Amino acid sequence: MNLDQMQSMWQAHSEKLDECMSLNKTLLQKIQSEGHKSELNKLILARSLEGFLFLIIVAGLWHYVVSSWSLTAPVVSALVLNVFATLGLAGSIGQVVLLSKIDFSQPVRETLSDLIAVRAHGMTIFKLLLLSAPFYMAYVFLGYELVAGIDLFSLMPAETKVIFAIISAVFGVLVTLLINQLKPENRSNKLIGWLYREVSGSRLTHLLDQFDNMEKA
Amino acid sequence: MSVERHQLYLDILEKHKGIVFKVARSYCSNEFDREDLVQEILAQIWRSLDTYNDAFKVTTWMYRVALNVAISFYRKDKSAAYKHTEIEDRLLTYDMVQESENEQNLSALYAFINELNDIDKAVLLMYLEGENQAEIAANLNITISNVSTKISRIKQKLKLKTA
Repeated sequence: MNLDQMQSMWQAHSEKLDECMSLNKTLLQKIQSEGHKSELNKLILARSLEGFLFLIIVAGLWHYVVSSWSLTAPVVSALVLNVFATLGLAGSIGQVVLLSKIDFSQPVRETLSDLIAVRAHGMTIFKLLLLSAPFYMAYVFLGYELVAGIDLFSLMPAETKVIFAIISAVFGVLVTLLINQLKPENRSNKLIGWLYREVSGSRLTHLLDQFDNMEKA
Repeated sequence: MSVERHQLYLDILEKHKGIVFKVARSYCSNEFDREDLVQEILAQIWRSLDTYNDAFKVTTWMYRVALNVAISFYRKDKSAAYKHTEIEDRLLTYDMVQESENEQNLSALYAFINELNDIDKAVLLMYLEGENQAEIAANLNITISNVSTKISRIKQKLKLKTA
């Protein structure tokens, strides 16, 4: 069989399909009424909830900063963590906007790009968490203040502060190196490929593979 | 939901439901995933109805929606989990008796399509529907020479398969 014979067979098949097929309108109606269960709508709901969570964190941190305003380690920590939470909030809002704009009647390349941006969200949040890793002591200082009312930083000996600063600097270098490598084109690397699969899931890997297939001439 | 919108939806599906069936059968070899894909395509056609206008051939518009859903559809392969289960209600029912004389050839044809990657499947489906290379390129937003290369590669694969 060659492609022309295949085409003739396909066209005969297409003509017959209309006679052979029937549409279950009752089930169709049910699906329409359950439209909220479609994949995209579920994602919009998930990102909205995530955004709401970030909003609560941002509002809570601002409340703490304003009510305890002074140049202490817990307040500075709250300000630092607020920057990350605000970035997370902006990311969630951006996702909801993008998701509600996805148009499946666009050419395949455009739709794939939009869907990759949506499915890469897990990786973006992971990068944001990684970026906050060098500031890990901010979580500790704020936690101690909120739970036990102790300003841990003021009680620390100078040598301990230097050790934590060195650990943060090492984290900073490692995180910068890793984030620099966390690109889809580096998925052939075992660690990066594994992170993409584990963090963003197989759906993103599938979309990226299709995008690569599209580019291949 | 407006009555006109719903009627337009039903009219389009009634006339062109074959496209949904062909795309779903080409992209999913197992029937459980196929049924999920049909549902997802029909849901997206409903959602995308506002983007439909007379500038498009309705078949081109429907192919774009169906192919975009199929290419991005994540196949969970439920065949093992549901191997003793029958699908009770199908959205598209296909009367195999009327097509039985062709079914063997058609199964071979779909089996060949199933072996291709998702983008090559899209190229082949549009080619089989009689779209020219410029139209295929526009629907994918790739160059015409890329489409031409992909078609040549599909021809080679077909030759090897039938040799």
